Amino acid sequence: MKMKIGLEVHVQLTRAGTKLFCGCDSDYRVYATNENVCPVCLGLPGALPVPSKKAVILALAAAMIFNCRIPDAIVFTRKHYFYPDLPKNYQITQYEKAGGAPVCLGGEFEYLDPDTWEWRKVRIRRLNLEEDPGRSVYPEGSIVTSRHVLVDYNRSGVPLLEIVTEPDIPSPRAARAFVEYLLLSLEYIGAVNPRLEGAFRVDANISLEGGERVEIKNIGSTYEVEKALLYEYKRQKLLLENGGQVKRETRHWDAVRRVTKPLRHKEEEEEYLYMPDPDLPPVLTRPLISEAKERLVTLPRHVFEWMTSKGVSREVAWSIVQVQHAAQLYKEALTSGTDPRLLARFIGVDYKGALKDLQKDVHDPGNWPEPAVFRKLVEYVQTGAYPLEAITGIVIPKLAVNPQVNLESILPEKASNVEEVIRIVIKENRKAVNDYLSGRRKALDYLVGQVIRKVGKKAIDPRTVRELLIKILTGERERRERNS
Amino acid sequence: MEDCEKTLSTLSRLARLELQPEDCEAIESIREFFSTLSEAKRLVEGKQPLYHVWETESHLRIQEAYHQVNIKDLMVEVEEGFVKFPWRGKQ
Amino acid sequence: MTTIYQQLQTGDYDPVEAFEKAWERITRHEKTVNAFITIDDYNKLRVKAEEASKRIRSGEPRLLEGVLVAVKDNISTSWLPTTAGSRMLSCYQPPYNAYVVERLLEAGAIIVGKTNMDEFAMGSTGEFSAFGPTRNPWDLERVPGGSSSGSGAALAYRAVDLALGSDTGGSIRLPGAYTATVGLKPTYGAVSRRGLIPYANSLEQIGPMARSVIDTALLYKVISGYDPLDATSIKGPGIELERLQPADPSKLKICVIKEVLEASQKQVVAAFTRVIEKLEANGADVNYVSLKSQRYVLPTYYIIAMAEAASNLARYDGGIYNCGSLKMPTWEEQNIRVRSMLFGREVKRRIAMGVFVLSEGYRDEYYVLATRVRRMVRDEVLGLTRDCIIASPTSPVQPPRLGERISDPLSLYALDLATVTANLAGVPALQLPIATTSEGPVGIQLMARPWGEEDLFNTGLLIEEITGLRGVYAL
Repeated sequence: MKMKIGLEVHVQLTRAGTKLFCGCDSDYRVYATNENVCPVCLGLPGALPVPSKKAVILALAAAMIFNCRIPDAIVFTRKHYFYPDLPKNYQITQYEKAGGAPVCLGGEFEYLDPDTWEWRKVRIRRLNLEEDPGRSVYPEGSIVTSRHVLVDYNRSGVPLLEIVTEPDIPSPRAARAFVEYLLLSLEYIGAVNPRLEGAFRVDANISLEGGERVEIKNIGSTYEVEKALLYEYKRQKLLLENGGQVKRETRHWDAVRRVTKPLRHKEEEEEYLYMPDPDLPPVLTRPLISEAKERLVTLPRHVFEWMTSKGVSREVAWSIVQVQHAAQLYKEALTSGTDPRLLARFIGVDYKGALKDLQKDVHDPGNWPEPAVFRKLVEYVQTGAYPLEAITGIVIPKLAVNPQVNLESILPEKASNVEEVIRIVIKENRKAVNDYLSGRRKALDYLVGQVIRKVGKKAIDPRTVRELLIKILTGERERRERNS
Repeated sequence: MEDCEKTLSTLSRLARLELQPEDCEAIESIREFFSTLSEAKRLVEGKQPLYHVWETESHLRIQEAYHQVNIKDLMVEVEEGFVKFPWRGKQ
Repeated sequence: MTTIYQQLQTGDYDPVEAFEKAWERITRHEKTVNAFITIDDYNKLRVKAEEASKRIRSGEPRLLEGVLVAVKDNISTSWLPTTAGSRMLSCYQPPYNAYVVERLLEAGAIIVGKTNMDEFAMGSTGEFSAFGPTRNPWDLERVPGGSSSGSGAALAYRAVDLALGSDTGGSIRLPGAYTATVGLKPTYGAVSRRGLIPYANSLEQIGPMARSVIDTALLYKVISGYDPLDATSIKGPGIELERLQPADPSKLKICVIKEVLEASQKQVVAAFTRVIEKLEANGADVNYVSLKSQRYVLPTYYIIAMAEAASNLARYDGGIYNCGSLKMPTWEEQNIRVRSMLFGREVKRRIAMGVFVLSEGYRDEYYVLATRVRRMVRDEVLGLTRDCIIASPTSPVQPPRLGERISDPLSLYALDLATVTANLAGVPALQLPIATTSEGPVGIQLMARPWGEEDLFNTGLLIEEITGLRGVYAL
């Protein structure tokens, strides 16, 4: 059954440095309860909001990613509702119908669907820059039952970007791909670390042919975007197939029970008494455009297409692009003589895989070596100094344990030493040598084994040993034939 | 008058204020006073609203300095660092 | 009559002597006048006055060294409660200082106390304070004007040398007119609003009040300036006190607003006309003009002010601002109970009406229409002030008697007929006294182009020469 999905993604600009309208920290997670607060984000009388330049620049950069029509001025509006986590009892946002002007007046965004390697198009309806409320805890039950509410205002005022799409997304899986690519793009422009707890929330709406639109609120991860939508798709499909009706409603995603549940209907129509914020004159965008543009120098798509143009497979390229630091490393490590595919493999498959095996964070730059190290590794293999297996099987896993280690100290013995070992083995195993020379090919396997055993646990490629052995023994045979 | 009581209850709900029936007279007369502005409609045809008197005179914040507030200095009940408010009460 | 500015210039200002005399007057009159909500401790103030005297003797006085200043109680001070005249904030002491308070302290001023005012600056007479009405020192049965009622009254009975007020629709100028003091509503953006408990943000400014034009200019110089932490603050040209001098009447063009004159009481018109005729006789070019938008300014102003007020006052929900006395079992009940109990009647009315003009179905008809009319008003005033000082009586009437205007809101709003225009248009407006009669003082209002404060002060100095009303006081 055909479906239409639209999304509303709220992303915190965790890397804006400060809150949207005051100097408190935009990444509040490291603070003790209510210790990242000031008169402005507590809404004390007389405290005045002043928009953070960086937050506005990041929002404009985001608008540019989405190819938005950007208004000449951004106008903030107040949205009123009484809630303990909203210290002024209004939220500063942008609402067009009440004289506000959002950051984006409509745009278009292409995201990568890694199932098909297609770039899919989504129309963006608008982008709002607004304040996050504080965090509420309900100690004696739930939001519906608790006697009291406890509030931590550390989050109050953190810049929040609300991204609203048109219903252009064809499937739950595509919705997930969209959100993932969206977050990656925002990470690339330095707006957000999407892996921080609570850094983004998604509301999704889905309608099936012949049914009304249903909104699902409160989805906290990209994985759950797919799960929640899939659940809702199946629920609606079953309803429609059994002759039922899908009514227009808002449902809540219960991440624990993995179901969507209807939200209680509000008795009264919401009335937000919107008005332009008189403390915040319009912010002219034109003088900020060039600074915002600077943040778009590297986007995931640029890196991906550049890598695949160098012959890197899409899978490996995507694996690298998903880790911003890996993409950066790749760009820095690649010089004219470096094999782009081999380098991509080392970074995107072997090293990233080794980090995952060690359960280390692939996004932490501290877990990665310098670009020169990768360049060296590629060079070793290209010049034949070390076999590929030695690098992937031995060096990279060791490097992943300690990326700052001196590369020389973890390199295996070089092949020249192996040749000496082979000569010793030949001397010590005359019988096997004679057997081989008289035509018993299995004797060669024995000799290879002996060499490897002598080299011990040091890296060596059996194929290299075999080739070297054949070369030396062939010389031996020719000598004997001459002598006889 | 019935109209006014309806208005009163709507305003009361939105503003979270108890308003008394005797406020009706004042509210009605202020509303009438406000309505006189409709005469000006023809004079402002095509004029945009003016929300900020200098419209685009604005600036952004660059410096990071701020003034931290100790939540305990405010008149609030604090529990383990959280500010505590009544919510649903006894059910 | 020497001004504070002159005394400071000549070195005649003795902070200890000035303080002791002022304290004596406070002790004698404050109980009757009720100009202050909070007065700082005598001993603390005395120590400050002594320190200031020392600094003057050592030859390092600052611009306002030891000068006694009163601050309206909606301007945040970290060491004194700041109530905005409301029971809602009777337990509130801000954790920070307003920008203007920081400037005063830097300049060496002594802040004597926090002055009485209409609750949240909503009122034109000073009668809507939760801490009791202020009386007019010129006639104790009359109101001193509002909402900066205490600042005007404190100046009039010489409790202080200078005072800060705030002006949303006339709240500095009406008390000025009723107490025969001088007050300036600055160009919007000239003085930072940081720390001013807001009534209607897009309209209001903090401004200086004093007993002479030059002292008003002196205080303006100290408090004005660009504040990066107020998004509506603007880098202005500033003023040079040394350059101020009475305007040359032959180069003065005055535009008198006919509509305001027509709506004013006979005695007010008479006093006003006397001054205007003298100016004309001295060579000023006087024009009687019609302000097309004059008839719309009051509803326009009140719609916008109440909408902003409803929004600003939403935060007082019984959460942070509650003396802890009113506890209700649920959040919503607590909101309603605290707001209903701790806001005064006029504040509640204005919140209700503000919510009304913003609500679905009425917003376009009232609020948005008012903002469009505001554009018309602003454009007309900007056009007129390009080459003209606009003059009118500050108030259409002389100070009303206590209780005379509290029952009918419209008769109260009518007092602002001449003053709200400057707030709607953002331009500066100066009030100064032109007569003191048995019915109370009369004031003139001058409006100029944006950043035309210097023109206003110079014109004010000229009028002061004509009237001789410099440094007058009551009691």
